[in-house]
Amino acid sequence: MTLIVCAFKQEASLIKKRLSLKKIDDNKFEIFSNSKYILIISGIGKIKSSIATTYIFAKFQIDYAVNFGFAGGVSDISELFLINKIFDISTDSYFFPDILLDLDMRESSLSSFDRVVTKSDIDSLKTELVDMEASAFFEASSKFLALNSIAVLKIVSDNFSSDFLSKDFIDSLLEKNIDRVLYFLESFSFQTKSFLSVEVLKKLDTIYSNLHFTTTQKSLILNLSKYHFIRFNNLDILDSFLDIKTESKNEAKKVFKNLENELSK
Amino acid sequence: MSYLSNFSHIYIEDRAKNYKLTKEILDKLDSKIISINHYKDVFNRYNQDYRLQKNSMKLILAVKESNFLYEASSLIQTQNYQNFFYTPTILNCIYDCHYCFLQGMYPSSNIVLFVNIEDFFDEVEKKLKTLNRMFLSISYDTDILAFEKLFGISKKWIEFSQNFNNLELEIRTKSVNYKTIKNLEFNRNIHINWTLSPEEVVARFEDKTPSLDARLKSIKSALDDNRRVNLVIDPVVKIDNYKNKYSDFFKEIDEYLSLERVESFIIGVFRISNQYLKKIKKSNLDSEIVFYPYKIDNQVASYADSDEILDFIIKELLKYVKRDKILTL
Repeated sequence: MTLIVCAFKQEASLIKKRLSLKKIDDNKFEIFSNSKYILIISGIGKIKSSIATTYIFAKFQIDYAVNFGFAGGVSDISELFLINKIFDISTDSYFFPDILLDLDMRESSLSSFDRVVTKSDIDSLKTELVDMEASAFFEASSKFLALNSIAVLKIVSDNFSSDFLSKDFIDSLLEKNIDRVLYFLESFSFQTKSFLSVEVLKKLDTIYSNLHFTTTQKSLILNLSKYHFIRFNNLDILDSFLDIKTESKNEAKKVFKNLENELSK
Repeated sequence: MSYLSNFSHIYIEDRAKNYKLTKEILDKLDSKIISINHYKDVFNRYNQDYRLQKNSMKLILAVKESNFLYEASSLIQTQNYQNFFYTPTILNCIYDCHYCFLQGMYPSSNIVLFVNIEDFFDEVEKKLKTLNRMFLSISYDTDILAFEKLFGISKKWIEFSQNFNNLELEIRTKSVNYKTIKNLEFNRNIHINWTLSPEEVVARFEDKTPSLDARLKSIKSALDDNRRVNLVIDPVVKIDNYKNKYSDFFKEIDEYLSLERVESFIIGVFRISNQYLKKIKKSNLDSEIVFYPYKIDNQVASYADSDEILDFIIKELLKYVKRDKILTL
């Protein structure tokens, strides 16, 4: 499942609509989902972003995480960027997403501030874009996912002006970029599945459970199953072990040895 | 969906920007440039996927501050040389051999190039003053010749080494880039050590490397130029019916090269630190060589019958060359 973190409702509005995300019952955050995506409205700022991100990781199985929203930039209003370097202004630390896929995205660097950035900050900026969430989202997500599975997508909404952004203007930015955002989300969710199928993993779980294998025994059998599968392109051998159950340690040890020998062939 | 090409992005330490080598490389590539403070900020990040990164390796240009030379570890073939050192001008390799220890050693498969090559030279020069003789491998944490068209580092090392008569330089490679150094004038202190395997091993376990035939052509060219060529049959991999396959392999390479022209043969049966192997197993590489049920002895994983395999390989080689040309760990 892919997590999408947006700071405020309007950033999420079009994604919600186009992906047909339905609100799920939660008393802490506004969360929307379908079978592939889960979107959370974090609120504005780094602390809120990291709380919301961690909240989802604690409750759901997440394979990919994307922070989507608006950013300030010196130029390129309404353009969509994939962020390749994130600078956290308060901790003076950098984060680097791994960009591996050829998705024809424009890239940029971004600084995450704790406050609204104004034109007076422009000369001291170390990056092209600024926001108030990305570094916290990235740091929180990277505790749970490989760095290539985390992305930050930003549309430049303003040039550090304090002028109010109208709903129509925001909607126009989203409309302009939504197809590319959805294409990115779809393409980004490529899987690095284990080469053992879910069915095989379930069979192994049954065997482990029936025979009360230790963690070391499980690890050994899993690795040998991979070895056997690579050599023979099947693991039919597991079928003959599925119905063996025992509470006796000695009996389980014998079955383990037998399975180990069969898989090592 | 496809992956970005290798070196689609180049991360450059701020202090590396003004080095000549940096400028030479940037002139050859059209990559996105990302400035960094220190190469470890990118290379040592937590939670990188080594295997997926192999599909789109990035380049990191950095300045090395210390540790320009390392003494050989016990798992390295020192080829009976005293004072055996290796030097890490490049970290990681463009090839993707399933058995490679680099997968277990580094957190990232991105390539680091240290552009302050002159500092490496200074360190070697200093060390040489304290030793009678020094054997220096410049290609242990990488395949330095494989990068030659882009980095030109082998050429720089070769030229540097010509100033000393007590420095032996080893270039260990699987590449076919001998042509890039062929026209250089260099003394017999340069050892070009080609790693060779039967084509089945190349095809199954040495992704992105040149074929056996292509390597043989390159080796023949070096032999014809009277270079010091050694063949590295390491790792020997226990494929099914390995005896016949290695026997045919030696016959094939002898027919093409005439093995008596080769200076020595460095032989080793596959072995790897168990700690590295455990890490590689977690990386989702679906390779038989990774999941083989090895025997673990003193934290080193190898075949239970590795002594027998080694004896067999030596016996086969003895059909072509004398025993004193065969080196083992």
